[in-house]
Amino acid sequence: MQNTFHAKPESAIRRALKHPFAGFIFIGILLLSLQVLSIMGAGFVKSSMLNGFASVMVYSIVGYGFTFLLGYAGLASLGTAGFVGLGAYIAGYLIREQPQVPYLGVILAAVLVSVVLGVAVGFISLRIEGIFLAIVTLGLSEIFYQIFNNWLGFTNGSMGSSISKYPIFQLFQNPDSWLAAIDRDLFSKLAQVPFLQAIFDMKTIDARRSFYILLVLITVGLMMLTYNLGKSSTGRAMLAMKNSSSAAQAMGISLLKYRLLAFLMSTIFAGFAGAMFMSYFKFSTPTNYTIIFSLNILAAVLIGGSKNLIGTFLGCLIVFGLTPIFLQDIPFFRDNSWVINITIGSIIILIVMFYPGGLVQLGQRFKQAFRQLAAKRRLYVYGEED
Amino acid sequence: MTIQDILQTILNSLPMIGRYALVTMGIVLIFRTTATTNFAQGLIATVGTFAVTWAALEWTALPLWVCLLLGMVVAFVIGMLVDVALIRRARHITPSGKQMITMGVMMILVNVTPVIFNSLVIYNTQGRSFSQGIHQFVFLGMNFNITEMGLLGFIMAAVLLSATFAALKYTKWGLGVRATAANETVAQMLGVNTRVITAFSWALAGALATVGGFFTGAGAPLSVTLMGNAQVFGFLACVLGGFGSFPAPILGAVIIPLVYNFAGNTSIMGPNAGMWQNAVTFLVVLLLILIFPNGILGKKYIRKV
Repeated sequence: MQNTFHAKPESAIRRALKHPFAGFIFIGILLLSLQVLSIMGAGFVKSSMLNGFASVMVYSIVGYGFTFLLGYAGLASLGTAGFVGLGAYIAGYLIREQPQVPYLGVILAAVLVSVVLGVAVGFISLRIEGIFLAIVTLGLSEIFYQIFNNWLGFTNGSMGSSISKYPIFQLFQNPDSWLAAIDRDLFSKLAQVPFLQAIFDMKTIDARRSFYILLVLITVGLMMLTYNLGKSSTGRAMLAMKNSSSAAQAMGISLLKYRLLAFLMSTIFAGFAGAMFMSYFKFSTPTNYTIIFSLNILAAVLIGGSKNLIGTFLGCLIVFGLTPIFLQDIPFFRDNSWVINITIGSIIILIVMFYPGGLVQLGQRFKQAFRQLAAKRRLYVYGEED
Repeated sequence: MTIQDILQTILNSLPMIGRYALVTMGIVLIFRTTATTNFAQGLIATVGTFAVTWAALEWTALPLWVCLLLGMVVAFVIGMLVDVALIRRARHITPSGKQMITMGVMMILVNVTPVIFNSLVIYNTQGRSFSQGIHQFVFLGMNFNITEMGLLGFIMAAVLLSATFAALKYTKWGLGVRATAANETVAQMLGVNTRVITAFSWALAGALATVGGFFTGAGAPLSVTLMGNAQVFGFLACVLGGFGSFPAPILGAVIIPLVYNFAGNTSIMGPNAGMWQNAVTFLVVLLLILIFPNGILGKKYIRKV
């Protein structure tokens, strides 16, 4: 008889749970179930809470791009606010002033401008490094802030840019939409079809709910995309570059290519998230896009553990979500909003100081402690092994 | 644009140069000794300025310069506390992490200040100032004017900065700062008490910036965003001049206000100059930084492989 040890075959469920996407899908299901509960009429899911989660999702998309930049490529940028704002304002301008542009075109425009921006900043990053780069991008973001405030025709200045209808789901309510621009008869004919009406002619509340669901799908999809990119040769090349740019170059990794790529990822995600923000919230003012926003994104990513996507999501939840989701309904916090901000500030300081690895490190500590406890209990119940 | 116009614009920049130089000095002191980009610098100065104004209005019998000293002491203590309680314990953390800690401090201060100095914020209170007058003089047959407060601020900044540089060069503390800036571990091994050095650098940075904050805010309604621009321009001044030495960033702090005031000059930039003043300044400064990536006075940094 052969003296081999046969491990018990893992069940399919266990294997599926161990798949790296399981966590992402779990988050997606949680977010979806909240919306479903709200549709079914559960009282505790308020619309302000759902909006809070939507903003967390939008900002976490920014965070995934930033994760690539900071966690993989090791580059710091404080220009995030400007990049997100640009995406939001381009989307706002096109949807409001140029209704004949289809929604996909709007997104494409936001992404294309982000590409140009990413290439520009990428080239700057070849000349200036480290914290200096962060400060330079901070200056860049300030220029965008001035543009958001002062270019009235494009951004409507400090009054804020707004759109009246949800894109996609309220297509038929817009008589100048791209479909009508192509063929007005077809537009009016299609608008009569009940099936299409149900999708493209929703009431405002239904449109918001549908967009929320779309947002969940996009968030989970982008999480998977970012995860895969991180595990690919691109991600490994960037990690090499982060640890030592000279060694990476010696191994044949092109600094130019991967720095550009890292910045492209971050600006594209930021621009896209900006467009999403505009589409969901239908409103954006320049004060959203100050230096505080860039710092908040950096904080969210650092809190999460800078390379962990679920961590990034949780970081965004702490930084952006605490107020609208949990604390707004408690009268004490609503009247003393400064307490919340001080709490968030303290949380950031505490996590950065005691868990430099972020929430991931905290989670591992918990897991370890739990295992130790379980081992102790086994010892207590079954006695010491011989 | 006449020569008088140019000279007057330069003259208008002087108060700003003084204020920014004070803030920048603090940023570079902190960066060199503890490798932290301090985002709370402007806020510490703001708290100091609030304290000055509060003292000046509460105890009207007190001379204003005593109030200013009191505010400086407040900022001195806050700066020292930040280092002792947080930054000193975060030595092993990456620069981005430290940056995040100062950001947390900033978040706390932004929200605590309006609560503590509630009366100042609600009533849009104006603080006392040393003088409201405008000084006029004739130079080379041309008339110039400058606010007396601005002139005083510039002179005060010049005196304080000269004193700081003298201290850096000739005192034991200055030697310690320079040693810590060069290499903290080695300085420690050679018997420099780096804890005292860093704590005092943080404290001094806060006190200097408070003077800048006072001259920014005196005679105008206070808000917590008082030093927002000074903070960002202070960082840019450091990068523009070069983080490598102590005097270089001051050069940046001289250039930026000049650019700012020329960008805001309607006879050069057209009638909308004021609207785009900030944006143009940032653009020019960014271009200058791209031309001098190591700073104007910075040395090229050669990396060992």
